[in-house]
Amino acid sequence: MIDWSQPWLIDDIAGLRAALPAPGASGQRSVVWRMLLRSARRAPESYPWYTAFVALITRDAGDIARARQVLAAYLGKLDAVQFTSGLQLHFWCFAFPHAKWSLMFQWLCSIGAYDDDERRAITAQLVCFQFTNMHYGLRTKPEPACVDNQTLALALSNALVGMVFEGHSALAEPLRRDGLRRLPAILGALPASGYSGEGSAYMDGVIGPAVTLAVEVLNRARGRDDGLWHTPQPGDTPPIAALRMVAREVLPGGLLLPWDNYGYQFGVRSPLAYGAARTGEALFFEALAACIWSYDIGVGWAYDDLVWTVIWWPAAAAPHEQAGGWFEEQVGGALWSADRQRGVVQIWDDSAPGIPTRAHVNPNAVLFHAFGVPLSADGAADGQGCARFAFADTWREVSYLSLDAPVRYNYGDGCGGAHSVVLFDGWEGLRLHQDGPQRGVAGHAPALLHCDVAPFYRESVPDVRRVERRTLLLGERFIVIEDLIEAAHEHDVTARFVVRPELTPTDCGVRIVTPEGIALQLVEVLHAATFRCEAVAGFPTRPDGRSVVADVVQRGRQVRWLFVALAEPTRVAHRLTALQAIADPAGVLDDAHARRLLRASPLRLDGQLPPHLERDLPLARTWWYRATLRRPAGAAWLRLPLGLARPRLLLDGRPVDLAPWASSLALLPPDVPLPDWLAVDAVFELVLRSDVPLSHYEGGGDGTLGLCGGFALCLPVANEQIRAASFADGVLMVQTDHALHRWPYALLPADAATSGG
Amino acid sequence: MPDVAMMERVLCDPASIPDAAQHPDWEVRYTAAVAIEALADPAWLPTVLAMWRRELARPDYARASVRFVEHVGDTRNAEMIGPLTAVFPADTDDATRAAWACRGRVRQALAFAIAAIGQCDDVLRELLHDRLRDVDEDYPVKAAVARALARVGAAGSIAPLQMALAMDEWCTHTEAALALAALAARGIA
Repeated sequence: MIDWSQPWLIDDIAGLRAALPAPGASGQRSVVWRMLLRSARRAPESYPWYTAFVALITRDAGDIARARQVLAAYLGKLDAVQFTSGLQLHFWCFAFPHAKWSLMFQWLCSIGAYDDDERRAITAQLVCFQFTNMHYGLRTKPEPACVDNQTLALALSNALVGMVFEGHSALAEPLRRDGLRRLPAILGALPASGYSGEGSAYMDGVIGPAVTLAVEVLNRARGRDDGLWHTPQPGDTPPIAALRMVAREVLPGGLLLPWDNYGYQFGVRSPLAYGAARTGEALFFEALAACIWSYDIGVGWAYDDLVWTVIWWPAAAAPHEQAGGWFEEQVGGALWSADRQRGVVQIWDDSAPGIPTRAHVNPNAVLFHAFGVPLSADGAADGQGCARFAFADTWREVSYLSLDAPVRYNYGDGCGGAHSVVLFDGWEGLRLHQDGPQRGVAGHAPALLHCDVAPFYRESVPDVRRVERRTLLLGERFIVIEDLIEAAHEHDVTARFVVRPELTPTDCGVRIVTPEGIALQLVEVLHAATFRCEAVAGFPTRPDGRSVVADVVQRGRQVRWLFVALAEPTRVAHRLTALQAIADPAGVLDDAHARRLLRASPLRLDGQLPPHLERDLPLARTWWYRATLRRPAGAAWLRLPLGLARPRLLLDGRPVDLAPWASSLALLPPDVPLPDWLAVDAVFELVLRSDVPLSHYEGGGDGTLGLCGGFALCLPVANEQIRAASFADGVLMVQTDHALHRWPYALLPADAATSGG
Repeated sequence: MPDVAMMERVLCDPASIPDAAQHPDWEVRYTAAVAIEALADPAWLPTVLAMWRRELARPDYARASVRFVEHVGDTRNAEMIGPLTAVFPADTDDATRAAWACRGRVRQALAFAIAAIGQCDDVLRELLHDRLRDVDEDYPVKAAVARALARVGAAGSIAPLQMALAMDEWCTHTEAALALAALAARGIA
């Protein structure tokens, strides 16, 4: 039985109580703590998930009263929840939150927030709901066959609630028993890579947060402290593997790897803080440093990510060494330059046979990323689908997950054609129909990754012998991709690259410049192949709602390509700070009125966080910012904060249309070109209006983002472009407009039997 | 709130199972079925059969029709604290409400009890088959029934299990595949 006089799963409550509210406390943890405190006190109904922790730390009567009110509201909804299709058919979503509220109830009891009668009554309600819904849910999942985020959430929920209420209710025993039996089995059955195959959304939103708590629960159940490295049966995968994969998914700039169904998004922080604190590994510190803090999302459908981040914040400083790239034989790898400004990911994780809705078909897909900005497009179309990838034979109707009408959707955007992979004979609906091996040999070396995925293709192209892709990072800047495809018969083979807009003219290969001003040029070396480019509307939804497909096609029994890619920034940012700001609590100010008030406002803000989180300012929905600056000659851009909502931009009082950034501003800061009508060298006024979220929940279930990142003036910067590339006598040469780059290079050895192809 | 004290007693005291098996609270009946599963004693099969029949006689939950005030969708509703108000059709009685809340929970627990006991008669087996044939039955029930048939299935179980195998839902077709393999291993094909 656990000690109810101490908050369970918190190692050092006295240390937290001393450190967090300390006057003058500095550092990111203090910033986050103050965000939690302000949010819980000002709007407990909007930030309910912070209230119990705040009460636990402060033990303030007002904070305790707010936490009690929130828990009462949660208990009050449980009766009605029973009738929702959510609880009935998606019970795993409710399991994690219920376990968290049970735990937070125990925290509140540890500070005397309830008398004995209240404690008994609430215990009965919480444990009964768990028993009749989440234990039932766990038993629905086949044991031991089912290993996924849903079953992990259910097993953890039962173990946690069972242990919290052990000795307080007989109903707790089956929860504890079955939860503790299945939890290590699920953890141990995760793939050796730690990647569940469900994409970053589920790795980040469920697997990572569940693994941290599962380790803490199992450590306490076993009376040990090595659970992170413990190798449970049957697969012997230690939980640290999953946490490392969560950290690897965090790309420089803070977005997550967009593999599989959910595309680019921001990530959670508590598993990173936990990993950093428990392991001291650079990987976790680097990922934590890339996070943004004005973002809130349910971890296991509970908005307490920042609470656990504060609890687990690493006491030690980051190590001096760098994490570098990574390689997992079953999954893929990443190559990053030492400054992490340029990189490429090559992935060969298993694709789901049958209907690839979550684990997409992406054998050997490559993803380019540079200067904190994604250059490749990946993810999914929105609910309306994408006509370009809505193939006739990829429609599906699902009725078993809803009590209402069946849901019909097209899963073509999960097929190979929507990814940067090799296609045979023009089949864009590339997917598997049966289970089977999906890859051959995968390997790595410093700055090199390679994998042969011919086994994947054999179901649809039985005579294929080899589909090997090798990716290198040369000179810390140039990415080289070599494809070697061999088959017994001739095929039309396509190397497809799906990249972000905009396509821009170039005299060599294909070149895009993203709306953030990062250029990617891709050149084929061996054949000087011409790219066939196509603009695709509606895919992926984020960041741009569109993409560019760039194909090279060749027919033969043996096809080999050698691509060189170079990413360069085309702009340099000059930060703008201390902008004049005003709150617009009713959100009704007109432009003229707002400008008048701004000019007189003594308040100065940087736009790094929503104002009420950045400073001790009133909770207000709408804010206006103002700065004056001089119009430089030539092209220039205003970089606005990330995460604007209902934005309005005025330049010298004239509105600027922000519609082109409507979808991307949730992931990337908009760079708005300064219009020509602003006179060179003249001082002009920048005014920006944005709403900020006032609750956990405003993101519609996809995470809630408040403005962050600040303002900047961006000016053009010279950038290097490839003018020619060649390969001869074992030397790869790339002529740019700045220099001639040469590297010794050995092509992949070909099979002599197909080399005549 | 259901009778939680009774639920706790059932798990600790088998003598309370017969009363619990007929209790008006579905939560108590569910606990009774879980308790029978833990005992895994064929002596409880008549109770299991009687419970199955009573559960089948309760109002249909496949056509549940509830609206909600403040409802924001299945997954998001998990994250919300409240409030949440269920609005029922005017003629919905208590028994129907209970059936809509319980849905297949007692049936699932009874299927697991049969699996734990490891034997059943043809009548019970046919009731299990019917659950697989009923297109409106919830998948947690179908999956549990398939698991039970892995232990107690007979030749007549093959066809309903093949129906379950064809289902799109993962738990159901996984349990059905395991059950068919188990039956094949016992020479039932």
